[in-house]
Amino acid sequence: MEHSFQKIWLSKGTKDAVLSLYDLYYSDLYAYGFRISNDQDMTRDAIHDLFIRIWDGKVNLESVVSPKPYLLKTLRYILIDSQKKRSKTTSLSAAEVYEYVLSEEDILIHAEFSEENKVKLKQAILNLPPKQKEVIYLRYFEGFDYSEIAEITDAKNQSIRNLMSKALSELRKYFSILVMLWVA
Amino acid sequence: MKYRDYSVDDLMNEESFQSYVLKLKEEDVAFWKDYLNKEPSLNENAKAAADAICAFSIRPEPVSERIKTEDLKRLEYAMRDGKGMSSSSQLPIVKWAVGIAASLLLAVGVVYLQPLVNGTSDQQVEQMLLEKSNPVGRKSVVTLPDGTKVNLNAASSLRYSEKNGRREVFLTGEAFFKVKRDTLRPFTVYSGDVSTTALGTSFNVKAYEEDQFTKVYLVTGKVAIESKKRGKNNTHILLPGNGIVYDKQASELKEAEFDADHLLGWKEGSLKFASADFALVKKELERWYGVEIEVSGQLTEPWAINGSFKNQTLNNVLQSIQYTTAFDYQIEGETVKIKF
Repeated sequence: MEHSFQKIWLSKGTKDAVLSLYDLYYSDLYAYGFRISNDQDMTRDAIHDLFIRIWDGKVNLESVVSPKPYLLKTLRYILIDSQKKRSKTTSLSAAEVYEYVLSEEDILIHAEFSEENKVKLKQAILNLPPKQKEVIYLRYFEGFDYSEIAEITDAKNQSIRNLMSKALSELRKYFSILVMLWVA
Repeated sequence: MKYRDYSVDDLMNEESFQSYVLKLKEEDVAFWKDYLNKEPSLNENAKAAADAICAFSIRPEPVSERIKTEDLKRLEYAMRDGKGMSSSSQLPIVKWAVGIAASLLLAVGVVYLQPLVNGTSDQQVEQMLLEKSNPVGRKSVVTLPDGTKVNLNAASSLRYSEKNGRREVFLTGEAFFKVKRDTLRPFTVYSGDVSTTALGTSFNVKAYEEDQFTKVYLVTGKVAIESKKRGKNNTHILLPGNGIVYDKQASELKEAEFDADHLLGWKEGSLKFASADFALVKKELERWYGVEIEVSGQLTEPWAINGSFKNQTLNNVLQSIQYTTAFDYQIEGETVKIKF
């Protein structure tokens, strides 16, 4: 797979290459982008913008080994940029308004809890700070490693490690309490 | 060995251990299976950590095929101008690579490729790309394949197509257009006898079939309005802040002043009346709330209703109107009975 993509990079600017990238990654891009912007139209426009940049040769894919993290990274950048423009009228900075919106339907609980406790664990995940939710999403759903997540979110490896660790220990706290309740 | 004294938390935070539990990388899975066999003392902690890591998973619902297909058409359209690297400037090796890319695409996207090839190979053929209609009582926001944003009012419908490098919308009812700028491909809204052509601009067209007047109001940019009937051909250039009214009976175009706030309020959920008579109020309420109004008795004095109702229930609106005008009403499901 990866080998084939090296070939596609070479043909950047051609319709077929862009369209094959589109077909393979649209769903992942949409799922990620929508959780950043929480706005369907904005997400769709940003994905369109992303592929047009590739088509116009403004996004350089030649040196990129694996396309997916790079595409997600660029989409994230486009979305945050357009959110910045949109929020120019408010006094909040982009970092202050950054949200990563997971919904209850995005989360599946596997632990053998009662329905009530499943909801509690879900709630605990939903209540994590945005950046922790984003890292959890990229790790659990996309299966990226720390260095890939660092690249996508424009952060250092160490801060991804910290975010992940904070999120998991918070969730483990709930998990242990719920396990105890369940056993009792 | 390195992990022998790891606590549950240590294990949970260990990247390779997560990867083993979540089955992300084969080498981590193989390593940890082997390691835990050799270090049975670690098994209890490993099990607790694994249970906690595996307690949940993230499964976003996949995007609908409809959205994916719509956006593919839009992308395909945008790439049609050939702004990307032209094929003549490519090296032979790149051409060979294109072949690989194309066959890869065939393998993964047969369903999408087919209509696409048909669409682009012949620009003369009209492409119907999108159709949207709202019943009474429902408003919606639509993004057209070219990127234009449309607020479509209740009891309205539109059809979008692209033909000979033109963008065309056929509208009945009312819509507000924020046209994606593309000077090479004019954007025309056809509404009965009146057509409105724009490049990149935003404007409102109100053209309900049952109304005597068709109204166009321009917010930004510049539009050309044309009316065609009984041989009369009229063109009018509209500037921002101005509007135009077409009288269907007289087949006449006339420039008119509008209250923008009043005319565009529907987009923000505001139902507005300015000296509105009973017939107008009745018609607007029927469209807005998706109800049918039955009238009994005789209107004793002419209505001239003023008011702005933002996201109000029908009951609230009727009650407010009652303050100025005497009538009784009853709401029964989708029927409203008004008695004078």
